[in-house]
Amino acid sequence: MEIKVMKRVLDRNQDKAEQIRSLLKDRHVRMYNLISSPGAGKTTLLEQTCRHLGGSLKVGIIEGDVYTDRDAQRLKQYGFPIVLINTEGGCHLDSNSIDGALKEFDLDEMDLLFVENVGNLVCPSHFDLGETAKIAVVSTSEGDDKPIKYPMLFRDARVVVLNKMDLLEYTNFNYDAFVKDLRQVNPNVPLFETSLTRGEGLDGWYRWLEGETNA
Amino acid sequence: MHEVSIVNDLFRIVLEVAEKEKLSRIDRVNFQVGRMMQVVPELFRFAFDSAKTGTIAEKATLEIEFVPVRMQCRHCGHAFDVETQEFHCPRCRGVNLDLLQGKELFIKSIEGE
Repeated sequence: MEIKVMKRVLDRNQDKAEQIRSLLKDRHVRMYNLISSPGAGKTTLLEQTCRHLGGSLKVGIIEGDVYTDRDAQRLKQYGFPIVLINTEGGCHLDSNSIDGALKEFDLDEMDLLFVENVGNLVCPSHFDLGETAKIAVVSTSEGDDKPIKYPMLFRDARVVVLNKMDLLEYTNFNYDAFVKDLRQVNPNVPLFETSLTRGEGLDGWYRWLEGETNA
Repeated sequence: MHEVSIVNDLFRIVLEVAEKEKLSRIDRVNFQVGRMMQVVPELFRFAFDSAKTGTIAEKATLEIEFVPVRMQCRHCGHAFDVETQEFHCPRCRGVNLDLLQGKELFIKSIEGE
């Protein structure tokens, strides 16, 4: 016999994400979910951002890492609280692991939370963490076809950071094709072009963050 | 490999329903997947076959129905399927689009005794 089920898979993740979203809204905390391939520059973006924000905002970091604590170690020097989630090989964070991590923070003493997701363009984009916005980071050395290949992420992203602009001349990255594809997938998303190891191109990103925090 | 997480959640739901309906054997799971979800069928089947071992779905087959990505143009209202990753309206070339379908991960039914 056939039994109608009519249920969505991952609803449990979604329900938990909605709980997190309303909790964060209540406490006036903004949470940004950083998603990129491995090596695109998520940790460096966070390093630069922590350095810039210094004492002006109270920041927390949730660091998703497959096995190590290397990224967390890099970020420790900025003095902001960090919670590390090792996924033990898992390719993404989910709302349940974020829920656990949030219990480690004093949310009343927090303005901004950054979640550094596991380096991967596919899986993290399927799991709502209850974030305020998804931030996509992509670099010129990865190729210009990412927005079309991973439309789920680039459609949902509220900000796109295009990193390693300083390496552009050494790659076959077609800038115009990238922008054209990105605009097709997400016509109005702010695009910030950076060279993060040099700390360049971040003004727009900082302005966006400040605008969001004051909104 | 989000396929594994999806399959684990699928099994949780399927086994709950089977228990409620007092099934002793699941023969088939009918599942809908939106094309936007980038599920790789081979990986999904592999994860399904790994998860079913030792359960009442041990011999179950998985039927995957793919749902096309369907968009609607905010400018002219035209609705269309996106087939070649061309995210613009074929009628007016508009790029402000709403997603109508394509994000499904939906268990339609199970079959068993």
